[in-house]
Amino acid sequence: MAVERIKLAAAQIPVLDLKPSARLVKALDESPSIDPGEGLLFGVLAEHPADLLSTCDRRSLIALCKTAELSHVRAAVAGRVISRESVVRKLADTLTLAEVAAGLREVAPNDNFVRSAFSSHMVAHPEELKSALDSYVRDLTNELGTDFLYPLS
Amino acid sequence: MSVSDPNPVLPRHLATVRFLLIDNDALVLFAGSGLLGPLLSSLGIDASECRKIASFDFVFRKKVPRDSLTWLSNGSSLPPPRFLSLT
Repeated sequence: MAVERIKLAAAQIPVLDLKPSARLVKALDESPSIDPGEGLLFGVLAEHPADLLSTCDRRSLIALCKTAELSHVRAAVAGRVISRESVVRKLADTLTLAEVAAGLREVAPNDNFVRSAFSSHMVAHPEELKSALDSYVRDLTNELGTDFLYPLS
Repeated sequence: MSVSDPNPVLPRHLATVRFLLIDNDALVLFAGSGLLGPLLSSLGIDASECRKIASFDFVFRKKVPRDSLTWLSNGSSLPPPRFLSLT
């Protein structure tokens, strides 16, 4: 069951106990599209070059990349962000699409990306689904810049 | 930085990942769908090398599917889910 999987995974993952510098927090706080949790993650990521970030928050990623006052933060984290769309697209190559779809729809039935990408029609037509996922990743890459997302291998 | 550095700006792939920071929504989505394990495998890390943020439990209670209400009210020490905003 999805809840049990989430509970188990969350229990195995320690809580982040770092905080970014006050200067960085202040800069990120000034963007209304970046909530405090995402600001914390962006700030820690910017100050620790061996870290990666996995996020579903497309809105905050776009804000980070489009806000001139945050260009230094964007530059610091570019190449180290893993988006939901790119994870799903990459794993669609290596996992059974039906299983991926079932899992995603169970845990996020009202997520617009999940609902539209993994509709019954799309799952029944894997090539269309992969094409749609490619389109999602391409659109996001165009919005964020070609250097921004971490290339999953 | 040496001029011979093959990538003086940004690494395309990190040679060594210290932590994978993961936001609440990504943790719920990937763990619940079964994608978290394959993602970590693709990065060559395990759960001990991830870090979640402290508000996870609160968000979890907001995000989990409706069929988990029984677990939330009976199977944990969490308070009653009176602020659940299940969409």
